[in-house]
Amino acid sequence: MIEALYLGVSGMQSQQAQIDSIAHNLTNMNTPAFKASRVQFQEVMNQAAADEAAQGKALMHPAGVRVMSREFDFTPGSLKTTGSAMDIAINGIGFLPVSMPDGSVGYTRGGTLVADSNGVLSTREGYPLQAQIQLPSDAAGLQITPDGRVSASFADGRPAMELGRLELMRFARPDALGSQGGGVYQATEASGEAQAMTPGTDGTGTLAQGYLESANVNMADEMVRLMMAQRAYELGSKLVQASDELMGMTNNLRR
Amino acid sequence: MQDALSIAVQSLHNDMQRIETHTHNLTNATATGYRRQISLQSAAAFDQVFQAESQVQQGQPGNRTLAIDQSVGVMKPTGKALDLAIAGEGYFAVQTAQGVAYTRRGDFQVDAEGRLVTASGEAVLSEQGQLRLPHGSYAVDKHGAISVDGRQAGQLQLVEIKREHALVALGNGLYRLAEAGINPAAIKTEIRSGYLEAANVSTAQEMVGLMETMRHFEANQKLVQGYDDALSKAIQKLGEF
Repeated sequence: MIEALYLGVSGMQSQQAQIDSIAHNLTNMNTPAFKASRVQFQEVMNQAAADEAAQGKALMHPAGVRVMSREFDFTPGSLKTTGSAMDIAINGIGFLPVSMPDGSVGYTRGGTLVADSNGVLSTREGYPLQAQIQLPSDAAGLQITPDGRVSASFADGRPAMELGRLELMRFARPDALGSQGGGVYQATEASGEAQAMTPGTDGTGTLAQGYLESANVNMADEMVRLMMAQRAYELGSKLVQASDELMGMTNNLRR
Repeated sequence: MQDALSIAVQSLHNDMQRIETHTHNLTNATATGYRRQISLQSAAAFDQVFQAESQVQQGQPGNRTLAIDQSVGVMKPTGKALDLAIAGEGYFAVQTAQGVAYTRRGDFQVDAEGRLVTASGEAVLSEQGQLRLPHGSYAVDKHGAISVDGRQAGQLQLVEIKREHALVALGNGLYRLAEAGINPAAIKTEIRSGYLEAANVSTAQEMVGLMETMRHFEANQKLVQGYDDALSKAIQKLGEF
């Protein structure tokens, strides 16, 4: 009976995580390159009892539900044109590697680039692109080709100067990447190591200068999920109430 | 007369287990590929009450027997090629640490090493054993054949579990056969790519079951109280002599 109480609580906790994730998705509907996350539920059986079952006795011990993982949905969002040469999006699969302050590598789906005080191209948050592309101080324009070649043009009619080449990284399981916030992801054991690819080859996406990727949040989907989660949470609370009533009845066995 | 109390207590225990089962089903109503559990009550538990010399052993959780409801759940579209639902009978076979297990939860992925795995990381078995898939765009046809960029990569192992073979739930929609040494036969069934099977739990049905059981529990409580009253009256009357 006490167990039924905790089973109900496990349902409430899992749905709480689902609601948190939906709220996060909905509030970021207008964040460029935002990726929706999804909560995966998992039925839990008491493993000790299951082990006993393995010795021939068919015993099962239900233990409720839990959140197995929170995964990202990396389906590409639609690209919208901004006309700014510093806006960059990835049209298809892939990530741009950036150097994090702690020396590790972060991965981003693009966004608005800025040149720092030394002219090095960085993300808005100030993480330099790993390709270390330095804009000359007298550059008038920046061109990024779909296959990742970056060049600078000059106002005085000098020929454009090639500055470097951007590579795209891909993962075996991008949905299992860890999030750093601010649209920066980090490799995890489950996602596998990043593999460098030339943009546009082997199914990798191409770079789109002057575009930003919209968030891939589907309002209708999220609202339906929210309704489901809310009702399921309510159900959990009813279950807790039910086992509370049972405990009351047990206590009243002796009047 | 002592047995009336024992029977009521055993019955209270049974009801609690039923309520646990309903609660477990309801909390898992949103878990993909979950199969409803059914709490089975047998008269054996009551026989024990009459037969056991000592009544200490009563109402042990060991009396619990659960069956798995093998009816098919509703399909919900996800649009991912490796999200597979089985339209009709049959199970996918996966390799777990404790041996081969069976599941209807088809949200498969390709892990960092290129293996086809379940959402919790167990390797999915094809007819040739574990599957390694290269990068590319995946497609699964209605017979369970996986292709990568149009090239055949393997055929998923699909098995039939006969109704007479009991299943043991391992959690996360994975099931094992209760008896060892049975090899389920292959089954021809239809696979739908881009769909997942929702839990086959009917919340209304479970809720009604829960209410029913709670009232039964209450009736048992009244039985204990009534019996207690009767005993108390008997003692008083006897004391008057």
